[in-house]
Amino acid sequence: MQSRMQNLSVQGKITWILIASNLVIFITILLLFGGINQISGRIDAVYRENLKLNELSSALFGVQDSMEAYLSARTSDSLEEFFRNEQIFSDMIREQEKNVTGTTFGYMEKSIYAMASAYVELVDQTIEAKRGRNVEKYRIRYENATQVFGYIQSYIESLNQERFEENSKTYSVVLERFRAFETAGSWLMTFVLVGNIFIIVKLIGTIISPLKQLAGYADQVSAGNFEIEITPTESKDEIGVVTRAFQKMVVSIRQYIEKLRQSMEVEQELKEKELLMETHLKDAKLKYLQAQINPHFLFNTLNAAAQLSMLEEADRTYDYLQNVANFFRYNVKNADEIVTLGQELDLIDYYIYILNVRFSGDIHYEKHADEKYLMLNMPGMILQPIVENCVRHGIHEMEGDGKIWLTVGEKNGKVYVSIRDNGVGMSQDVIRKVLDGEWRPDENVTNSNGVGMDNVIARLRLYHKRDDVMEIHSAGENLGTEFIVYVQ
Amino acid sequence: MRKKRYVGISVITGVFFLLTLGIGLAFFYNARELQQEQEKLYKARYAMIVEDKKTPFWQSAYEGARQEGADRDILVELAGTELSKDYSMADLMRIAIYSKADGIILEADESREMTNLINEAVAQGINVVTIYSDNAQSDRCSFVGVGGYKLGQEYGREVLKCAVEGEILKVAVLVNSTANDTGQNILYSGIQDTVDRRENKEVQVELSLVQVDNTNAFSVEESIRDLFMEEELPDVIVCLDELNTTCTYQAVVDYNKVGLVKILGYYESDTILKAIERKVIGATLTVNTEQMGRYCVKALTEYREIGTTSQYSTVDVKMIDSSNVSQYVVDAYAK
Repeated sequence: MQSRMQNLSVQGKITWILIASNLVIFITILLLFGGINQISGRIDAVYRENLKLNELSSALFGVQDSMEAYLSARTSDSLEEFFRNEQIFSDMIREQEKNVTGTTFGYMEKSIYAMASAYVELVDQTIEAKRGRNVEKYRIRYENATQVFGYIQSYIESLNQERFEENSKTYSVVLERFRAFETAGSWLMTFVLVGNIFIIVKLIGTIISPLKQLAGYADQVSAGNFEIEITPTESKDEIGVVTRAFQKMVVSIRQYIEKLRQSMEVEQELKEKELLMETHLKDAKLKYLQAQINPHFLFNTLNAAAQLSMLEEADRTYDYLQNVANFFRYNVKNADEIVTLGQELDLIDYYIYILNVRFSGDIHYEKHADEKYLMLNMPGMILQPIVENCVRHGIHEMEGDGKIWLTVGEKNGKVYVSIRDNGVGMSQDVIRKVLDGEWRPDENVTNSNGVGMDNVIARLRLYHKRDDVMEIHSAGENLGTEFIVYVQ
Repeated sequence: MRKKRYVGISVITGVFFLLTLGIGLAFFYNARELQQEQEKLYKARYAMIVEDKKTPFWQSAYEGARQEGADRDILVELAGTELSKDYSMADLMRIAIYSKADGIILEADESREMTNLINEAVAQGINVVTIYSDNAQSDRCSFVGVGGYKLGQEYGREVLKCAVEGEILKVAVLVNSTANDTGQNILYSGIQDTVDRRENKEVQVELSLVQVDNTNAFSVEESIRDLFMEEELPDVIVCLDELNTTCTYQAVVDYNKVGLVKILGYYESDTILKAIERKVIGATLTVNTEQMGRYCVKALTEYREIGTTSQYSTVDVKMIDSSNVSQYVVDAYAK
């Protein structure tokens, strides 16, 4: 039965509980009603007998009265009346005699019916004698009949009285019983009610408790704890189904998370490897460059060359060597450090000088910088790569004289450096790519100092902790390009 | 854990169901029992017709008859007790006849009217047993009573115990004036014979009959008191019925004659037993009235069943005096 109960749905279970509890109340009420009915039946019986006797008594009076009426007046009407009354009385006796039992009262009733029969006989004889005009005879018979009438009356009265007394006793007993029944009935109903409520609460609680447990699990899962142990359930109801599904779901989520974690770990590992490789590559390049030439040795060499050119009074050579030495020194020293705007501008001067020596003064460079901005801090090696970019992509690819204008200004409270050329210009697509760091020109590494635009932008963004650090404007092909770098 | 909870709640539910059903059914059957309470059913009805039906003597006799009847599923009713009117013996006989009783137990007398009524009843097929006093010439089937002569002898012996040598013992025997039966006469002659045949002839006993007027309900008491108004009181008063005994006892107490007049009583009512304990009444003769009632029912039933029975049965007679009264008191309380 228990397993059958377990197989029921929640609705089925609750329906059964309610049906059963209602059934209990219904049966209790039915039994109480039955009991009350039995008791009230007894109360009815108490007075039924009295009623019967009273009817008999009035019929008896009817016979006696009509007999007397006939004896005194002797009319045919009165005779008719007498016969009718006698018939009623005799029928009544016959009818009632059938139901008499052998109890004490039953025997009293039997006596009454026996006397009534004798009375009817006597009355008949009296009437007979009267009709035969036998005066003496009917007088004596009338007296006998009246005597028996008196006996019957007396018996009926006594029996009525006795019955009444007995019935009163019974009635009080019945009433007492009724009261007791009432009180006990109320207690029974209270008991049934309380018991029912208790059992309904308990049963529904038992049905609902797995749901509560499930809610607890769900809370834990939502709080991120996937490691909970879900007690297995055998219940076949909806809650059982949901619990098992939840259990499976938690296990699946756990597995999924595990897989995700593993794949992320693999990815991470790959990235790390990639980065490591890049670093290694860069390291290798640097080592390669460093291995090619010892900077101090280079600077000393350059200085020696400069002194030599001074001794030989070759001033231009001296300046050139001085500029080259400064340029490389800066490059080696300040690659990843914070420098001042003034230092960055000096580096551009060295670079342009060197280029002009290399390319026989092709590049016209104009610089407008207010002194007040020169002490502003900024990451090193930012402006030179931009100028180099202008020279390599803007000016070298054009025909005619290349020009570069550098202006330090202030717009909306922000200090910027504008580097403009009159070169081939940039298409919007290229500008977007440059700003997004996607632009990879086929560059010849040997012609550059190794710092690309993407590196410049990335470092600026890192330094300023925002994205709008550079603007690139180009009006179109051969209309030049302007780079605006926000220093502050 | 959950399974355990299920089992627990299932057991509680089961117990609750059974308990509710049990209590409900108990309620129903309790009420039903009340409905079905049945009275005893009888097979026949005997009417017992006696004169002084309210005295303990006749109540006890009736009780015996009723008990015996109940044992045989026969209803014995004491005629007239349940009726609102006070009917005469003759009326009660007629009622018994008209109402077709199955048998009549009658305290008869020797009157002609009584003989006729008994004969009429027998003619109607109703058997009659006379009790205590007989109607010998009627067609009654049996008589159950006390041997009057034997009773007289017992009284005679008690009288002789009171006698003192050389003195004349005056003994008054109270007889009812209306008793036209032979019973009292036989009883008196029993006393007379015993006294006459006494062994000690030194003892003188003077027996006399005193008539007590019992024509109406209260005259007995009056006429007994009249006895005490006279100059000379008897030494011993012999009472032949319960009422006379009680009245005489009260008179002796009221007239302060305790110790002077010795009472020999009849029957064992509570009052009489108490009087014996107080030594106001010397002794009382008692009839086993219950046995008498039983014998009547037995005789009637026997006659109805086999058509014959013994014509005459006597019941036991006992003497109660101060030596054995305590036992009777205990018995009376036990009853």
